[in-house]
Amino acid sequence: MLLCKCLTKLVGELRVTVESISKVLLITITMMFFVLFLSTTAHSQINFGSFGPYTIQLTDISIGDLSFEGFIISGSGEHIKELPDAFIIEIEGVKYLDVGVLITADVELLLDGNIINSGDPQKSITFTLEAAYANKGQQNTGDAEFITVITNVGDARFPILARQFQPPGPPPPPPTEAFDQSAVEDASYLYLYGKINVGNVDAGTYTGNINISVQYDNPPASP
Amino acid sequence: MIISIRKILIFTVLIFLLSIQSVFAQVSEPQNVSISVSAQVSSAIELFTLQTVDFRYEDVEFNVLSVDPISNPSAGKLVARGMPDTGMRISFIQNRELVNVDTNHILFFEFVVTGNVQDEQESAELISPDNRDLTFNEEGEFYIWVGGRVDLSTAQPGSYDGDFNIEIEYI
Repeated sequence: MLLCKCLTKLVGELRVTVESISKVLLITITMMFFVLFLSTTAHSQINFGSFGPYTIQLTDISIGDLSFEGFIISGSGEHIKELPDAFIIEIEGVKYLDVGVLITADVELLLDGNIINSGDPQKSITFTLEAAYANKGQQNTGDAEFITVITNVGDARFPILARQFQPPGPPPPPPTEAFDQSAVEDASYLYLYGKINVGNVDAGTYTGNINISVQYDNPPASP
Repeated sequence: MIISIRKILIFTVLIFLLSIQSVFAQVSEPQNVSISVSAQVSSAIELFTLQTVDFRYEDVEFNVLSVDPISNPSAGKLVARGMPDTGMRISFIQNRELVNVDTNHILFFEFVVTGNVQDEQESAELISPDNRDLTFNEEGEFYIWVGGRVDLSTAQPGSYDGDFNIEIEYI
């Protein structure tokens, strides 16, 4: 009798367990379905956690490149390009949103830009990058905020348009077919400048590169 | 063993939330731009003396010692080396004192300087004390001859010392 009761109880528990497992499997399969569904159709939904099709446009305001001009004689030491003479890049985007900027630059300019000359004291000159941004709605180096640059790598996060002592504006409208980004756009400005140190190097043209990466929210990860 | 349905549900929801994390991480792609940094480095200008001025007795006429930098082979000769086809400026002090090392008597020497992009003394042209219209040749060279004149009518016996200073810079 006792055995029958135990067996009955055991069968009952097994039945409950099997039923429970079935329910769990059903729930799991349903949730997996939703995951796959969202993965394939996210573009057709309004995701308030994503920036959707908001765009950023980068435009060179300065002509040419960041050039240290004038006669630079071999062995003449330091030549400086100050903020007022900086190379300017315009960052155009949704004014309510923050942008993250990552700047990386070569630490040396190489004769004829030839990588073989890297580290050669006669065919390379050191370059120290400095950077700043202005987000007051107009291009003005007087509004510049400096960006910390260490070993020619620097990053910053700032709103396209500074809030200027006002509370944050309304959240941007989610991207829909009726959304016109140009109606909520503004521009901030990135300033690139710095100095070179010319040792007793061979005469010629020395070049290097500065790479700028901009996205909404946090700066891109440093490479 | 009975597995708690509640625990399984919680576990499943957690798995679900982790999997949708990747869906909501679709932010806009970074915009990238690369700009070039450049500097044009020129070699320093170097000046080499190829021949010093040789004052000879035969160059004296009517008590005036004169060395013509265009025709006299005794004229001093220098060559300046720098960036090819690059403009430069030559400046020098035309009148200098020569001092007798024994008596401190002073004579005034007037320097006359000519220059040429070719190593040809005869076709060299007169250079004024502050000439800004000169260019290195395609090899980066410019030749300079130095002569001048001094009145010896008041000269005293002995040696006279003096300097000739010339400056060359890119423009």
